[in-house]
Amino acid sequence: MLPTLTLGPLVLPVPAFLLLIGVWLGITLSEKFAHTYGTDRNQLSSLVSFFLAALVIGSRASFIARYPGAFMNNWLSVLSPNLAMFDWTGGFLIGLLVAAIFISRRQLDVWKTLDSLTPAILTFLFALGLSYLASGQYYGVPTRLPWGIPLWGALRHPTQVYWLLWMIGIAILLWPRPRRQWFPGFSFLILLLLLSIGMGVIEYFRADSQSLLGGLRIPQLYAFLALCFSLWQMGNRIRDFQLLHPQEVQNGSDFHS
Amino acid sequence: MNDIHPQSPSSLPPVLTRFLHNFGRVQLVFIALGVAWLAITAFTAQPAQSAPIQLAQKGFMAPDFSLLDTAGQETSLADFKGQAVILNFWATWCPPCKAEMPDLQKAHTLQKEQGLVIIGINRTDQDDPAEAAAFIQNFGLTFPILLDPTGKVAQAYQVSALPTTIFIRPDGIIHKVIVGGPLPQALLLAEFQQMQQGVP
Repeated sequence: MLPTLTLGPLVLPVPAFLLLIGVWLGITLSEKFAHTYGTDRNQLSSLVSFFLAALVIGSRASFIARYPGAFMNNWLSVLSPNLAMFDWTGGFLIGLLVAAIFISRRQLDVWKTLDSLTPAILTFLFALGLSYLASGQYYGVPTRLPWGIPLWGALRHPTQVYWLLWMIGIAILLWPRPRRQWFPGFSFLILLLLLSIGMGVIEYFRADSQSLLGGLRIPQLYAFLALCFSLWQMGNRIRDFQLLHPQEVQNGSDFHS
Repeated sequence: MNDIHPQSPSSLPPVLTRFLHNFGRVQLVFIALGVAWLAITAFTAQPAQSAPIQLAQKGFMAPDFSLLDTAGQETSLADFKGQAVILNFWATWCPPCKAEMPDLQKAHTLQKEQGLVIIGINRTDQDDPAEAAAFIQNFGLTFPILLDPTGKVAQAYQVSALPTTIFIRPDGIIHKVIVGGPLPQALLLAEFQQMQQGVP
């Protein structure tokens, strides 16, 4: 655990720093491999920039909308750089909306765009795991297993490490390779499928997740919904492909988009 | 095939082709396994914490302490049971601590009637008590300021940098830990609202 790093008079919040590195590295990788997925690098750059701007502005706007009374006497706080004053869930939804409008206006291929974003999403999620490791969040339930780590007064499941290993596994499987793109959307849907499986399983070992009625955890429900969505869309894509290229499927030869 | 389109795969083995033809069944198997896993984990979920452990981390019980204030009167965290508490660790030599003091004072003035308790803990082990007293007077602080001459309480709360602010819910569970500052008044009030509403 390393929540802060003191550099002279500066105190660096390590988890936030790791997330920033993850965002930067992820965008760089996605841009680098954009051609592999048949997308334009500049269009992808613009899309990510719009999404990030909407995410930051939307997160602050969402926070203000949730707690307007807190800003009544001090409107200047709206401009505070404090990271605790962002509602990232609300901002993420606003970011998705802006990205959808951008894709529609520029008439980009949605599935190819999503495929080209998989390196960015994976890198960010890996950085998220590292930031959890640094902050001690996302900690596991107590265990007697030999690989338990001492954290928060007990030997616990290293859920952050499980997450990191799962991300490495997905990255090895989905590392951009032109010959592995069976249909547009393949990489993104496989990523979503594997993420939902990993999240659903690791969640069971977490001690700090939100529970719903009857022991069901909210992230597990989200993961299940993501699993259903990815399977449904994969089925659609495979069916579409069979309709377009029936001979190739019959003969077991190449899939073309 | 010599020319490979970026979106084209190499040839698929027959087993994979059969797999894709039967994808409807694959979907059903995955969904059935998902439902089974949800049910198993819901019934066999381990309790997150069997006993409330005192630790300076979100979701744990805030460690109790007793310290003397500048007038020599003893104050304990337990005295404020049932109220939302903001613990702020500070020192006179710390610039962001100075910057956020007026906001802490304003939040105290605005919300003390609604049940918000703000406690300042001076890291007296790293500070001069006389300077701390002058600091309190200069900023006109009216919320309780406690002195931590040995740094024991700061150690219990794992204070690695100043300022560090701990938000404690009325049930004694830590709601949030924020290292660094300055914290604006709006954030203090929003966190107070969250603690009162029981927002996780």
